[in-house]
Amino acid sequence: MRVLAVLFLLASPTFAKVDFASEIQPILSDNCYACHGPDEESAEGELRLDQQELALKGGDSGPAIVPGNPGKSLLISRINLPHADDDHMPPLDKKDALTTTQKNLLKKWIEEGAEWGEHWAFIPPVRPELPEVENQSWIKNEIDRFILARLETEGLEPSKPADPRTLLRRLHLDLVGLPPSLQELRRFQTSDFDSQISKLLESPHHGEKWGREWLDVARYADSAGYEKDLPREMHFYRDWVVNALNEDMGYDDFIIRQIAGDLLPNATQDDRVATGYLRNSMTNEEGGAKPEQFRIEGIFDRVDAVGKGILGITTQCAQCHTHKYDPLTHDEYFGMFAYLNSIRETSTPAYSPDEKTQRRTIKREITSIENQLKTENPEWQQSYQTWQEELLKSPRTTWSVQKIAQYGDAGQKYQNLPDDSLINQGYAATMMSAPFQHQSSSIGTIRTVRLELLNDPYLSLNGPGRSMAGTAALSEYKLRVDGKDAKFKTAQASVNPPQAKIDSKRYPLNAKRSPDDRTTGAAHFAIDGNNKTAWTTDQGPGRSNVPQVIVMELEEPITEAEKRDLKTLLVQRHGGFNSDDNQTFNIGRFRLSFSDQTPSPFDILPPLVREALISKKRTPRQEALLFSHWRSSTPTFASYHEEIEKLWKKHPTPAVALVAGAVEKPRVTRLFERGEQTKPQHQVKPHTPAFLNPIPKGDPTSRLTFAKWLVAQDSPTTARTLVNRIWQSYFGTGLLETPEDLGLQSPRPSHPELLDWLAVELMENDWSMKHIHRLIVSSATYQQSSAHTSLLQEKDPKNRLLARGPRVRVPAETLRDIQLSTSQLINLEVGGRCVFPPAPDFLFQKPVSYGPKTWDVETDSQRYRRALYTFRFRSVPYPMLAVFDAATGDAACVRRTTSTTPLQALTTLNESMSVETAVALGSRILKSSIADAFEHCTSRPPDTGELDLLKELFESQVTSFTPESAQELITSYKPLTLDPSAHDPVQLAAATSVAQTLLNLDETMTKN
Amino acid sequence: MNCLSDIQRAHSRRWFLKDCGLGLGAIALTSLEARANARSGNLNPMAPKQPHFQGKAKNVIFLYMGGAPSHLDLFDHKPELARLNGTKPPAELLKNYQSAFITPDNNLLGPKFKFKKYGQAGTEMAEILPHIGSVADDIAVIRSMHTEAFNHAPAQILLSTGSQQFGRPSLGSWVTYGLGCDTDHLPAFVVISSGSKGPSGGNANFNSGFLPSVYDGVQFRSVGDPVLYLSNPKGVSKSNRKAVIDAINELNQRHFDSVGDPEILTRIAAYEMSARMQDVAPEVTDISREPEHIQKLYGAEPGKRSFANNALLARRLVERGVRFVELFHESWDQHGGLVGGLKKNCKDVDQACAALIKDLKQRGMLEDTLIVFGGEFGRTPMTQGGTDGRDHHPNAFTMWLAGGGIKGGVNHGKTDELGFNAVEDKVHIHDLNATILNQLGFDHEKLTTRFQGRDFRLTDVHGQVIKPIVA
Repeated sequence: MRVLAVLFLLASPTFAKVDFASEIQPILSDNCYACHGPDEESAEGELRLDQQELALKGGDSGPAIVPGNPGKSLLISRINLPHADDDHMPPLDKKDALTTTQKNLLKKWIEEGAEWGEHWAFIPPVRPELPEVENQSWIKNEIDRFILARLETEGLEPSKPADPRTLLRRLHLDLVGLPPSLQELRRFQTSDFDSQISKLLESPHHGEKWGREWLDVARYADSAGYEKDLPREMHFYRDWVVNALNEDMGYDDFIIRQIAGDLLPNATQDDRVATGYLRNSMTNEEGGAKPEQFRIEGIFDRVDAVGKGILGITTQCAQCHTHKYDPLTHDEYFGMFAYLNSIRETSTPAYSPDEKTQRRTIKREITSIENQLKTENPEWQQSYQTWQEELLKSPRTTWSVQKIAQYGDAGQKYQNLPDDSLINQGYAATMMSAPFQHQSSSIGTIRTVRLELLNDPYLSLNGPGRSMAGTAALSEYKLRVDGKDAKFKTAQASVNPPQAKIDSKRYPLNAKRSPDDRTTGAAHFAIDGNNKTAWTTDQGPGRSNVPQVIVMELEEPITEAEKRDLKTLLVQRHGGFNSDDNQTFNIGRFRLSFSDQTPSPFDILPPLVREALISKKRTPRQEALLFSHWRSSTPTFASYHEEIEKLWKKHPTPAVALVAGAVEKPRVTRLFERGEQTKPQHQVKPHTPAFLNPIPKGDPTSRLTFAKWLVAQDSPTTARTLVNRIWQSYFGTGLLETPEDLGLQSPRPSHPELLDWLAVELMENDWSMKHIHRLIVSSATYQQSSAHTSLLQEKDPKNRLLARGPRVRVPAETLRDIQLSTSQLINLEVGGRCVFPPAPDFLFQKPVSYGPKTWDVETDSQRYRRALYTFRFRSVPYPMLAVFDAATGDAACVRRTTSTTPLQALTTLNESMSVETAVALGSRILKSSIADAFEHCTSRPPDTGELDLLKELFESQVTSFTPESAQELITSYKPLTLDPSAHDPVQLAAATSVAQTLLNLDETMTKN
Repeated sequence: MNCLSDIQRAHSRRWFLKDCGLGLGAIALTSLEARANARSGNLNPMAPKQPHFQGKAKNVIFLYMGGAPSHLDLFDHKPELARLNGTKPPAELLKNYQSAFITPDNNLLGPKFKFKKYGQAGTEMAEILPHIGSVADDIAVIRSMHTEAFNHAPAQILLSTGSQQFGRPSLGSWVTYGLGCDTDHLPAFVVISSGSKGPSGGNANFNSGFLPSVYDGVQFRSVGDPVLYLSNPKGVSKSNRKAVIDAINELNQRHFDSVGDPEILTRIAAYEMSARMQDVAPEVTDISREPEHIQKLYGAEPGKRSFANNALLARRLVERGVRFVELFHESWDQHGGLVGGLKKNCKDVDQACAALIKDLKQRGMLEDTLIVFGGEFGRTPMTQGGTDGRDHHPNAFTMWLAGGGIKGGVNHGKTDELGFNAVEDKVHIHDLNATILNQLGFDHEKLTTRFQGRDFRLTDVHGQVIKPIVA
């Protein structure tokens, strides 16, 4: 009993000196700081107890602490007042009175001189001395010394090593998230353990397992969240994480690239994709949403994620006011906010290595055809030159840019930009007529209208449209003059794609409704009076994201235009069926101009070509662009053109990776009073909290410097936060229970020195995470048997002292992977787009989902990809994963709950994929044996009793299934690879029941 | 989100470790487990728990009118708005006013329906709410609700969780966290949807946030499997299944005997309960078992998807010990088609809401069942589009409560003469939540959970119980 009593008490034996950081500060923080803490504004009675100087000075009532003299210390007298006294501290309506132990500690501490100290986690870790232990022979590496020393102090002994099979299972589940195969189990010798570790650390599946852990922290999901919950293409970011972990990228580098990869010199596609971390924030595109409001919400989310996930500091309090417990001020919060405020939310086309090769090939072949053209037409230079000269001589229309503004009550918002263009952000209607009111015309006679479609980094792939591909379609342009629509006689554009039907893949929900008779094509579709035809900028992948222009000539000029009421209508009816389709084809950014002249050929040149043409000193790129435009518009080169067009058709479609870019001019950050956007106060420059490490060399306002600061060697919390989270993943609980919070309110770590030792070990080994993995799994601590004993259950039910190995239910994803592995259905392909395994359709339909969502169930082996690759809608989480506590991605999650519920049982027994895997495992049972299946599921062979029980089950199921019911089961859940004729249906159904039993065993779901 | 503190995690693992008999059925507790329980107290997170004080209400049925019903056309009679129909709103009202869709100075739009005085209290409501009108003396109408958010998803999350930030526990999660549940064969917190869409806030509306995930709302359906994956796979009979569960539990028990992890017992209990849920849930959700006059009272038609069916189902669930039932009816976003939309919605919900009150009353259950009706914000006194729509409006809206110790026939709070701002006895969502918790026996300032180093509560640092509506 004595041992038990002191087990988790922080109290030291009475003869030792009271330690401020571990014994006093927690009491003060818990009970006093809410009113007498770092938040100056709320410091009651002008007293602060969070800093030595201020505490000694005291408040309105006098000195709170007089070192060496508890009798004169107000702190002591106040806590000892009768409860009825109004001056009793802490106030009893807010807190409970201190315990006698706490009071005595405070008294003793003051008697001993009230020595102050800093909170342990805010001092950079130094490598502690290795503790002495009795049982030297148990030690496998340094970790064990720390664990054993504590066990010996507590009078406990470590458990015996786990048996080899359990160990191998544990190792596989921990390092790659997959159970060992039968072969691996049977071949394994304990002496192979080290080579197993190396093999698994080098496996491409290692990054999948540990990548998933990071994706929780990075609040990863495949949709935007909020009402519309638009699908995203974030899988390049996911794959970047997996690859980075597989390559054992240093954690410092890993973080720097995610926070500021775009700012690195010669940033690659991968470096930009890595900043997807910053873009995992949700975005609200519901009707009427203000883009700026949700941009700021996104930054709050980023600060929260960086705090919880990287720094191990809770920042949310300081969003509204100075932190009540930790020395993080309101200003410092906005100092960090300021680094992230100047992010441009943008996207980059992402190509796989194969696609990159394909792109290079296409470009090379185009060049070779162009060279061929030149060789076969030696006069080309002359004609090219003449063409340029004629164009340059053609009359230049004078354009007068019009000031227009959106009017009406629509949910989509057009923002006016300084160059008089307008951009559509936030909600994007799928079918609409966007109305704009003109200021009075700046010219008297209007003959021609020009609409420039412009790029913008906000738009998908830089626009100019708002579709995923950055393309746009204009069903009809209308100029309403005094209420009457003007008529146009011609429309010419810089791009005139051939007439084409709407791509049904683009709007899968449309396809399910009615045949789509809308088409897109050349410029005249914008003025043909037919809403079903539209002019489009879409030239297919690879070349659609450039500015375009359309020029329309009126039948009759508008005279006295400045006196007339002018309205512009952009009729855009080529998006999805309705807003539920979440698909838009609208114009993203545009500018409108009038001219009193008729258009010239010069006006309809693609804007980039025009720039190239008039450029005094063309870049090679401009030269190529100009040449390619010339040859494509020269009829005699039609055959070359056709060949080249065929090549373009082979161009891969990039994924739209959301990334962070930098704005040209940093945004001004203002502190928000109470965190409310509507209450901006003084300006705050980018800076980092003073209680943490100093900002490293470099531009102190740059996001790159901020990123380097996060992972600097002198950061007190970063390395600790990471190694603690890694430890948590192995053992179920971190050395510190709260990985999100290393601050004053956090509980004392179970093994503070080990935490520091691991943190230093990480940093001194180039932040190698694999180094930490290897250390942990090589330790005797990790390799212990996880069996509970009544002694340990009594003394340490939560296994914080680690006198036994970890025994925890596997995460949701691993559970699905176990089902897929043991049934041998699993497709172990690594990386690529997300997949859609079976799920009940109603979840993606109204009224469960806000609007219908596309979930086209995979009908080939993609169905059996690891759970990491399952598409994740934030608003409709995949049910099997959600019920087993997978994170939704709504906010950073550094610690999942592990629940055990009946809904989980219903899921693994009845969910279609769970049954499908059971049928497949049933078939394996018939082909080999129940014993083999048992062994694959649990990593150990069954004992006779277990085997008999399962055989009995099989026999009873053979009698209770009818041929019809068996057939129904097999047909309904037939795995793709199963040949039903290979088995008698009743036998297979009965074996499926046995398989279900095996897949639902606690042991199957658990890392034993 | 499924993030929580370790203490909570320890709890959540032990979903059913109740005293013998109740959760564990035939499985005897080993002495080890008994000791573990004896030491740590009752660790089942869903065991019935005592609130801070004796509450009036035991259960809640939240009628969540997603999309935001127009207070001006249904609950808040504004003759002055009718008089000023078609004129510009006063400029001073629009200072710092942000609207979602409209140009704020659009013309005022008078109420679209006639109002009537209902009940002895003379509660004014639109004539298209005759049924709710008929129970006017049982309800307390709050006309001075206000909120901050004016887009659906954030506003819904605010109403559901007390915060616009995602990741916080929902009201239903807090209530089941605080009170546990009186049934061990149905979930404690059930969510059912009807209407033209799903809730804008999605699952976050009924998520447990940083409370243990056992406090998540569980979605039920009135058509098909009432709970996801409730039915056995096609071709698998009840006896097939029983044999399988018996085998699983027997093997798990043997494994427990060798490794001694109490988690295994929790899992055994969960599998037993899943089988009981399979027995009970289809019966509970089968509203055709109700006598015809009861079906008629609600306007329920078994087999159809409707709010009426869900309301009747809500009563059946509460009757069987479900703690919190939330009915989402997302259908009230009348930017256009105001008249037609409201008529249809009232037809869909009016009778069933009133029936719920009458039915609970006749069963003596109204006293301990709190009913809450309302949406995430109100609608603009200004028109949207032509003259048949209203935009989102956070400054004023109406909600009503009944049962669970709420005074009937009470009219609380007032808006200005245009229904633009709540001006008298203003009630914020935090106040509503404080009141709901109060009725259940909680001091809203003390129902907390430790997360990220501080004690979080549903009402953050706000909230005052609306005393005048409390009996």
